[in-house]
Amino acid sequence: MTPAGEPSLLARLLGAMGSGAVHCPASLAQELDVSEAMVERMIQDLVRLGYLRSARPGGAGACGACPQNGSCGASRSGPRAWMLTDRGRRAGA
Amino acid sequence: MTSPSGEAHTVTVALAGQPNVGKSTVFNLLTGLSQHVGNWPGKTIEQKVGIHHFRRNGDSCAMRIVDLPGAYSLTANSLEEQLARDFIIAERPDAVAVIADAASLERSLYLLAEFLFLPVPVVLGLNMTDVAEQHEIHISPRILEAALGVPVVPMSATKNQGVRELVEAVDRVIRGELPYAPNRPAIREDHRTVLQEIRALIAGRAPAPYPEEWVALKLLEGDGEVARMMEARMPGGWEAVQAILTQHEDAMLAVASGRYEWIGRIVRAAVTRPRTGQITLTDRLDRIATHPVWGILLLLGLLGAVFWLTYRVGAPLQELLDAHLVQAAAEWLRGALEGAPWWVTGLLADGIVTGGGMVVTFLPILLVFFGILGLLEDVGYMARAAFVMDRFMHLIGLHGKSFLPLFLGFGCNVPAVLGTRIIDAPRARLLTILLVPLVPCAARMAVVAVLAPIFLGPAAFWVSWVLVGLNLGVLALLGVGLQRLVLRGEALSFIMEIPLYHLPNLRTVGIAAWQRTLEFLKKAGGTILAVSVAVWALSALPGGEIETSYLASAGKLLAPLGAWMGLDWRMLVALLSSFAAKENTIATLAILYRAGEGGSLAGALAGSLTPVAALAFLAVQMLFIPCAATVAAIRQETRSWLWTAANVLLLAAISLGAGIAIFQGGIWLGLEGR
Repeated sequence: MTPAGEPSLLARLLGAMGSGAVHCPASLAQELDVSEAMVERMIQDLVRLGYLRSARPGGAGACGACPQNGSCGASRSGPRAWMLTDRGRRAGA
Repeated sequence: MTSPSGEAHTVTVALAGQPNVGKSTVFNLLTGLSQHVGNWPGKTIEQKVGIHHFRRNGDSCAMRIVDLPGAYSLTANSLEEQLARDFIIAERPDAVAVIADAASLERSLYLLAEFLFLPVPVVLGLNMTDVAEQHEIHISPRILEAALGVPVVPMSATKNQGVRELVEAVDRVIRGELPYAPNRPAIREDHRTVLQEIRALIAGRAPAPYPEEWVALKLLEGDGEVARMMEARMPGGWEAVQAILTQHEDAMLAVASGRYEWIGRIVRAAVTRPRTGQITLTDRLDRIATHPVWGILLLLGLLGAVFWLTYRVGAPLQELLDAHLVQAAAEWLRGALEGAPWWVTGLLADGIVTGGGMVVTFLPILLVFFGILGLLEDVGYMARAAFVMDRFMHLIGLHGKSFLPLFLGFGCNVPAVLGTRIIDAPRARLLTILLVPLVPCAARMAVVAVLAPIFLGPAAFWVSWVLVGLNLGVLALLGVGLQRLVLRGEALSFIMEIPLYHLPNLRTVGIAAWQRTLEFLKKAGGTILAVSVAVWALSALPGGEIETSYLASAGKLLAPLGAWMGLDWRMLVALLSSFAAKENTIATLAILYRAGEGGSLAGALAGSLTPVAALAFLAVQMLFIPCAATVAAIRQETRSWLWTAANVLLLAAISLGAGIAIFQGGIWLGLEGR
C-alpha cells in the first residue's frame, strides 16, 4: 500500500505527464517500476475517468477532408497518443 | 436439484473476462455443440449460453455456462460492461469464472478486483500460461491464490489444458469445498472517510441485491447508471450524496489508485519477470531508434536511404517512361496530326501528352517512395520516428502537441492543418497551422526526386537530404521564434504508443503504395491536366511562339526577381503553377522547355541552370507557398483571411529569401559558374 502522503501510481503517472517531456508506455513503466501492461491499463483507465484523452490527429476527424484519405497510413495506423485533460493537469500538478 | 435431463445438479456459471483473453475458446471447449446463441434481452449484443456436462463422484452433473460480453471493467462505460454487471447482480449466478491473460496479468486483475465486491464467488482461470512462459513470465498460482484469496487455476485453453481443473474448482467453490475469502482492494487512504460518509448516507437505501459498498464505490467512480438508480431511491437524501461527490471530484482517481496499488502488490508477490539484463530484440533496437541523439541520426540516415533507393530504382524507370512513352506518344501525335491547325497539335502533343504525361512518368518514383515508407510504417518504425522527432521538437522549444499534426504533413499538408484540431490552446494551434506548410509533403519530395538528378546528377542524393533538413531547420527556427513570442512558458507532454517491431506484410505494403499512387493518378487526371492545358494555352497564344506568348509577357515581369536567384522567367512560372498542385512544376517545365519536341525533360533542362541556381530553385520549391488545397484548409481552420494571407506571404518571403541567399551566397563564395 502507498504510505500516506506518498503519491499513488496514477498520480505519479499524471505528474510525469505534466513535466513537459514525451513518454512512451515503456519509459513510464520504467519510471513507475511497473510493467508496460500495467501502464497501458492505467492509460486506458485515465482516459475512461477523463484525466487523459486521445491525441491522435486522425481521431479528430482531420483526415476526412484530405484527398489522400483512405490510402494514407497515418490516418489508419499512425501512432496512438494521449494527452492530459484539464482535470488531468489539475490532478498531476 | 435435478435437471430435466436427469442430471444430479445444474448450476449457472458466468464466464467473464476482457476481450482477447481466450474466453471464447474456454466457452467453446466447455459447451461444444450445446450452445444457444441469441441476444441479450432488449439488446443487439450476442448472448451465448451452453451446457457443460461433467461427472462428480460418478454422478452426472451439468453447468449452465453464460458467456458474458468482454469487458475491461464493471463501470457502465459501455453496453457490454453494463450487461456483464447487471447479469451478475440481477441473475445471481452460482459463480463467476474470470479468465485472465497470464502474459499481461495486470490488465485482467483490474476486472477481477471489481468482481470481488459482488455477492458471487469468483474463480480465476489463469489462461495463456504457455504464452507467459515463452515470454519468461513466471507466475506462482499458489502465491497468487493466497494473495487474492480466491481459487486460481492455471490454463492453456488453446491446448485444452486446465479446463477440466477450472470446472472442478468452480464446482468445489459453489459447494463450499474450497476456501473463498477474497482480499479486496481498498480505496486510497486519503478518501476512506469520504467512502464511509457515502456508505452512511446510502445505508438501507441500495436496492437488493446491490451490495452497499459496491454502490458507494461506483458513486465515487462517477458511474451514471448507479447514480440515477440511487437518486430515484433517495428522495430528499440525494442532495447530500451529490454534495460530497461534487466536493471530491478526484475520488474516482482514489478508487482506481487503490486498485492499482492492490494489483501492484499482488503482481510483485506472484509474478517473476525476465531479469533486467534479458532484453528483447525490440528493446535492443529501440535503444538506438528512440535515443535522443542516435534516434535522430538513424532517422536522417533512413531518410537518406529512402532517397537513395528512390533514385537508384525509380529514376532510371522514370527516364525510360519519359523517353519511350511520353516523347514517343508526343512524336506519334505530331505525325498523326500533320496538316491539322497548329493549336490542335500543340494542345494535344505539348499541352496534354507532354505536360500531363510527364507527371505520369512519376509513377515508378512514387511507387518506390511510397513502398519504402509503407515498409517502414509496417515494421513499426514510423512510431519511433514520431517519438524521436517529438523529443527533438521539445528540445528546440516547440509545443509538444504540435508534432502529431506536423507528422501527418509528410504525407499531405491538408490533413496536417485539419489535424491541429487536437490542440486546445488557440494560439498554439495557430502557430502549428502556420508551420505545417514547411513540412515537405510527398508531392514536394516527389518533385525534388525528379528534378534533383536532372539538375545535379550524382549529387542529387545529398542535396535532397539537405533540402529536407533545410525545411525542418526553417520550421524549427520559425517555431522557436514564434514560440518565444506567442507561447512563452507553455510545456505540455503526452504519451505515445510504441508498437513492437514485426516482419512487414508485403501485401499490405504493396496495397498501401498502390492506393497512394492511384490517388496521385486521379490528381494527375484532374487538376494537373487542367493546369497543363492552361499553361500550354498561355505559353502558345496568341501566335504559337513561346517568347511572344501571354505567359512570357507576364513571366518576364518576374525576371528581375528571378535574376537574383539565377532563374529565368520559365522557372518562376513553374513555381507559380505549383500553387494548383505541387506536381505541376514538372508539367509546366516540360511544356515551357518544349520537352516533347524531340528531347527528354532531362535533356531539355540539363544545362539550363547552373548548379547553384538549381539548388536555389529546389530550395524555393521545397519552401514555397503551399498548394491551393492547403491554403483553403488554412483559411477554414483559422477562419481568417488575414492569417491565411500572412502565412502565404511569410512562406513566399522565406522561400524566395532562401533562394536569393543560396544563389548570392554561391556567387560570393565563387561557386557560381563552376
